[in-house]
Amino acid sequence: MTEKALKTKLKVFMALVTLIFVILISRIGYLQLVQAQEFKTLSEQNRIRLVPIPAKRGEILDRSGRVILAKDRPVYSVSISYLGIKDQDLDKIAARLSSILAIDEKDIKSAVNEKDVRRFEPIKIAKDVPLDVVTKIEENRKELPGVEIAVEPVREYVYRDFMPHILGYMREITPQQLEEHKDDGYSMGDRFGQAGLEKIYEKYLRGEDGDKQVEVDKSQHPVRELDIRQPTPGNNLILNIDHDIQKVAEESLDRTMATLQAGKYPMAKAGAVVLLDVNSGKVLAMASKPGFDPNIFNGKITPEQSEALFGGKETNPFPAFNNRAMMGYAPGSTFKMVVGTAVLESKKATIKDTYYDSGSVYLYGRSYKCWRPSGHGRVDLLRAIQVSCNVYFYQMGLRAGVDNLAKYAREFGLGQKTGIDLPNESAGRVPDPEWKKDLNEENLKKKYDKIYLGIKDKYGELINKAEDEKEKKKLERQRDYELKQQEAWYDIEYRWQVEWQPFETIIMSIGQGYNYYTPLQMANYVAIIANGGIRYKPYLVDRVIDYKGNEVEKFKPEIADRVDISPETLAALRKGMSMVTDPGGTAYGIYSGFPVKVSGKTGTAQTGTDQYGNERPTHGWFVGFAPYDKPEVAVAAIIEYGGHGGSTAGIVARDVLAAYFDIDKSRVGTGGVSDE
Amino acid sequence: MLIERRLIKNFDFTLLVITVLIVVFGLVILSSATHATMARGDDPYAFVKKQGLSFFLGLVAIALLLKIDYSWFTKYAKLIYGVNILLLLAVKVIGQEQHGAQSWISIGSFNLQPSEFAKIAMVITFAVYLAGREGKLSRFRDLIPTFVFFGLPMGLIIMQPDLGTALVFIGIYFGMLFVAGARPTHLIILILTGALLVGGILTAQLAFGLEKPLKPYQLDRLTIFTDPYKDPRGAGYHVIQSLVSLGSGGLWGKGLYQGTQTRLNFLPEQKNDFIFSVVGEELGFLGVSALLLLFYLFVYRGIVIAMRSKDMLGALLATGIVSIIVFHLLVNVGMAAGIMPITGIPLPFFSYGGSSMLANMLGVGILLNVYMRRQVLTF
Repeated sequence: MTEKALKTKLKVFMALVTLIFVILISRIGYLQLVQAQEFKTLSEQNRIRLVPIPAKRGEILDRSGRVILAKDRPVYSVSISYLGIKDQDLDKIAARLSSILAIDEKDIKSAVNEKDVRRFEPIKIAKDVPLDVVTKIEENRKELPGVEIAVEPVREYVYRDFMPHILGYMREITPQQLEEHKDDGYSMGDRFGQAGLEKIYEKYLRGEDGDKQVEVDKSQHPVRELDIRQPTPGNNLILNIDHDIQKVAEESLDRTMATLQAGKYPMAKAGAVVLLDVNSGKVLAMASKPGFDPNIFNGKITPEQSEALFGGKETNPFPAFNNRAMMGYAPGSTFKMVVGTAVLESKKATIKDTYYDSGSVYLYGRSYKCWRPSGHGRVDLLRAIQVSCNVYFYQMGLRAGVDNLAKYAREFGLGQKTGIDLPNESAGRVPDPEWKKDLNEENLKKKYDKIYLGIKDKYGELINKAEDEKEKKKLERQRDYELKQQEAWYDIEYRWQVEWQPFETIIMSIGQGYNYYTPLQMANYVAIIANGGIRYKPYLVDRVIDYKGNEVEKFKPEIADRVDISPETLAALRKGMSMVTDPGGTAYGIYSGFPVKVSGKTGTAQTGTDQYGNERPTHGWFVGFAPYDKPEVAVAAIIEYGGHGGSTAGIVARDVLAAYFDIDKSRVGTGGVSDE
Repeated sequence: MLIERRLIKNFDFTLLVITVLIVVFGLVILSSATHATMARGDDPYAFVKKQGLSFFLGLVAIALLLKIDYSWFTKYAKLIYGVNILLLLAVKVIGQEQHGAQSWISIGSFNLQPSEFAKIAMVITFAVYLAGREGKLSRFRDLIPTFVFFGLPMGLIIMQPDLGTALVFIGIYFGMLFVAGARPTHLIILILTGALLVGGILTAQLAFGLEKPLKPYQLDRLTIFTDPYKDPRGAGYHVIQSLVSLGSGGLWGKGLYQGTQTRLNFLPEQKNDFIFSVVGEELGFLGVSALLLLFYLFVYRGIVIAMRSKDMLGALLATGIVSIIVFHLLVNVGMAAGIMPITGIPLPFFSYGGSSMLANMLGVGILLNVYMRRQVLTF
């Protein structure tokens, strides 16, 4: 080979080599210049982990701002951190920890293995560890490498089963809630208000979690802290609830129910009471029984606890979880002021109009009794309220008519949510012809359409098979007859099931039938009577303050409606209600000696028959306001299956009013039973 | 004076300076790749020191090599070839296994990696062989003996298995044959046939899920670079982390010792196979360009030496050494950049390893030797 040929070959060789270099540098240029940002992000994701620092949740305090009802309590938790060191023998540590903490060794190991991919986070082994156990761990530090003791917040409801329905409870955020609040920065494992104020005021109470930016290596072991963002504690709620009154309310319910259970009413196991400020709608007390301890939601709920909270109709007819102050009940005689309003406002009667009560009245082919077999004699509106005369109100209800009854029930806010700042409020129900028609008409039509079709099908087949014209005609006649018969039945059923019947107006007038109202609605209705016609939206939270004490938000009374009822009518109702606690009134006994003039109304709601056909005990109601001449508060109380209103709910209402007016109970009469 | 004055006058200082620059660059990067992941209490510069020592030994080896005229290789070629084969056999028999390949022989406290020296040995012996057949390579059948010549040591290396070194062998083979005068058409036919064969075998293995000739994990490693996200925590992990390291370096890099991928150990094999990605992460595109420029100058010098050599043997020796360096770069850098399969071969003068350093220094020695003796002696 000539030297020239060799040189050419080497030049070609050099060109090939240059090509290789060009390929390499182009590829790297593409990675480092074009795709750099993408890879920078990936490399940051490799090394940076955010470890959240939970914020302290805001506290819930009573109206004084001094009584803490719910707060975050720091508890000790024990975790294991992966150290990546050789002498961290997990088996040994697990064995040791399990003896100190009294937890199963297997649980510790499975907790550690579950977290294998996120080793930069300490793995929680135990929560709410008592101090002596913490001390023990500290003493054994050397044998427990990687075991850490941390302080974390746990929700504490200070007075345990005190007003749980209002406070609510905390639980880990559910996947659905996480989805709904995905823009609010929640993540799996966060606490979330699940009921009551905790739920409604979640965004105020929550605070803002901080976090630590931690640099980790390939084994996810933390190398150093890069940055820390301190958490901001949540805001505190100052309630309108007065701790002292609430306490009386809860105790009085418990005590009254216990007395009733020991006596003739073993089923008197549930009840509720609401106290409202009539001039603002502030809820001063709201209690529901049976109660529960929301602290149990910090841990696992046992089947027994679940039964007590949510239990079914068969096993536990009194689930503690329901807030009975916001559940619908037949109002019984406490509804009578609505009837009075309806008849006066529709000008179908005057205050002076009277009826003679002989103990019963014959209306639309049927006899309707008064609760007092001997009757109340001649009564006008005020007297009828005082003695709760059924006979008077049956007839006044008929005079006013169902449409007026329904109209004024709604005017008082009945049958609709009050808008209180609590979740799951029941709207209750005002029955009227339209409601009844909507409820039943379609089903009835469907039922009969099916019957008609069945007849037509049956005869269609027979007619097809008919041998001659004569038989065919006969079958057709039979078919038409049967159809006519069914149509007649339809008309009858339609009248009773779809069309409003006078007897329904009659029983509606004494608060029975399809009326369903919540104790909260009833208290608000009395408040409207008391304050001269303003319907306020009841509310529990007075103001929100931040952790430094600055006011974040102040909630003002909100007028939902100025009712279209004349002042004269409302004054008459107030007068009639004041006579209830006068001598001869249905609640005279329990308010004798009460230094503040209370106006009220008792109620005894029938509850139908049980599965064996036996009449069930009645619900006892009491609604009222005080003082009569310058009303400040309205109260509504109910005891389920407790018998008569005055002797049951009346006592609870009296105790609550006594607490509000700061009345020494020893000076007040304790008994006084009326039959209504 | 051990070496004649005239020879010193012909000494290629440029190449030596380039080499020293590359090695110093490599030592700096090695210190970054090793000091952070060193166990506490150990000397953080232990690897750098050992590598420096290897470099020093390499310099001594060069000095000794320069004393010998490269024409002496002709005399000892058969011996070198024999010893080479024996060493590769020895690896198979008494070798230590590491990363799934049996490529080490322990001699006392030293670990010798014969495949590193095998490359130099093949360059020397093949150069001697081809120089002897100058002008007799134009027919295809003239190439047949070279198959045997290369096939024997290459087979042993594939059996280790060390596919990276085998690839470099192919580079040496074609580079030297081309310069020695084989017809380009023949070489292209050979390359295409080989590519089709290898491609066919791999495709068949993939298609039928066979476990031979390559073990499944080897096949995975060979093919994963085409789609590393197929198995990001397993076979694809190395490629992905290497790409992230390189790419996140950007133009300027994160700074020496500041590479998070390196420092926090996300980048695997950072002192060996993936040391190039450390350069990319910490010094960015500028650092990578500097590195490639240095190697390009090195290669350029090598080809200049081949051109100026006084005979075919010198030209072939220089071509062979250049081929080694170029194919190491192609395979190693290509792997780090995700365009070549994952085959563990070192980046010359950068990757930690005494055998590799020593072998590369011997290569430099051969180049210097050829250049020194470029003038035909006229007495």
